[in-house]
Amino acid sequence: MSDTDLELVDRVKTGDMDAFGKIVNRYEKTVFNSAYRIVGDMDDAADITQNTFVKVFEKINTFNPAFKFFSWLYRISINEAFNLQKRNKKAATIEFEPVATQPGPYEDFVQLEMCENLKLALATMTYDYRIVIVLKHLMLLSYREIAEILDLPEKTVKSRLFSSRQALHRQLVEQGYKT
Amino acid sequence: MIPEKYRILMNNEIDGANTTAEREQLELYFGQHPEARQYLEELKVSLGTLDTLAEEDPPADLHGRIMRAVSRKKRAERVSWQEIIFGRLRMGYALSAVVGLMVGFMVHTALPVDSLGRELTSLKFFRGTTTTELEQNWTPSTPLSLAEHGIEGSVHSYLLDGKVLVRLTLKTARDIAVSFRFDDPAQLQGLNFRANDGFQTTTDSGMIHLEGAGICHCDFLIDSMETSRLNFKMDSGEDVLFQKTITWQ
Repeated sequence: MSDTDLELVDRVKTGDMDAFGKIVNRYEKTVFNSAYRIVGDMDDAADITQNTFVKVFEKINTFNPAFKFFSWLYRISINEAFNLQKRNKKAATIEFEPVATQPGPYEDFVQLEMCENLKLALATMTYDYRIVIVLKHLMLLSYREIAEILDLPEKTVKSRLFSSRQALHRQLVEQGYKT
Repeated sequence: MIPEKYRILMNNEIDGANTTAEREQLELYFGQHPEARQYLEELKVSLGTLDTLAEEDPPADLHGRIMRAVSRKKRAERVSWQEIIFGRLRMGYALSAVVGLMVGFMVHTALPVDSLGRELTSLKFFRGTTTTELEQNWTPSTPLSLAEHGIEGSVHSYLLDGKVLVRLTLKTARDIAVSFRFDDPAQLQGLNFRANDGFQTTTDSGMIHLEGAGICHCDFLIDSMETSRLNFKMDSGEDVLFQKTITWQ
């Protein structure tokens, strides 16, 4: 049976690096993907992921077990993504790296094109809008979890998500996507 | 323009979270506004495309990079100041560092706590590419002294026509973290931050966060039409030093 997050956190607090390695294994891919969807650059996403886990390690003693560990972790990663964007000053002009393409069947091509359209649409959204789309639709978090991570009332999250959904739809339509 | 009530119902409909009664309400609205139904369907299709985004694999060496970075951090924490000064560095460097620290300390202590030297009547705030310039007289509210909590500094707030200016002045030798939290990020209309190198500031959704040691001045402007309170918290990383909700009318 795998250890719970809280068990691993307790072990990390005693200096157990194996436990920390397990936490990294468990959340590395999710943190990396959410960061990538936010900043649109693989290298930056890797930096954000690394900085996030270093911060988690540094601040593990301040983690309040009354909250979910992953909410705390995602919050750190989102702050890291935000700070990196601010430093790079490319919040408004991020460019997603193209996915390596290979010749394939028509369906693959259509899906690939859709992926690129979506990435572009996400990239052109404001940070606040993009973040709720990523948390809700790509990380599949509940409203409560998103509210906890963003430190916003659930009602605000709901309202912002609807505006974000509208903005995404608008962007896709502008790119010529027909629903 | 879709009324807020139906925006919420449409949002819930996308999530499949409407009750039967709510769905009926929405159907009634759609009966009168068929274009809204059409719009919701289009929205659902657009959002459905998000499923086509495949998860990306992180770089193969990322796990190793993270563990190495954390190990370095762990080792660095173990190294004492004596080791840094007398063990790892040559004496000449150590002496230079000591002289540098003394000069730095003199400059640091020579700075008055409130070195902004600006009148409230000529403050400029920046948010994105928008500049807000204040040229009016502000009404000060009762300042909040931090001295009784062992911290040199104060929080002043000033009110004018639906806006609140909050000014934090702080001088601290130890690392502390300060956060100001408000309900909606849009309420933050401007931020002016000045500090020595020891302090850093970040703004997050609905939050201004300052962290470090030294001297810092932070002025920020909030639209108070929507809210009348601000949560202010100061901590040392482990202990909460001070926590208060600032309210205004």
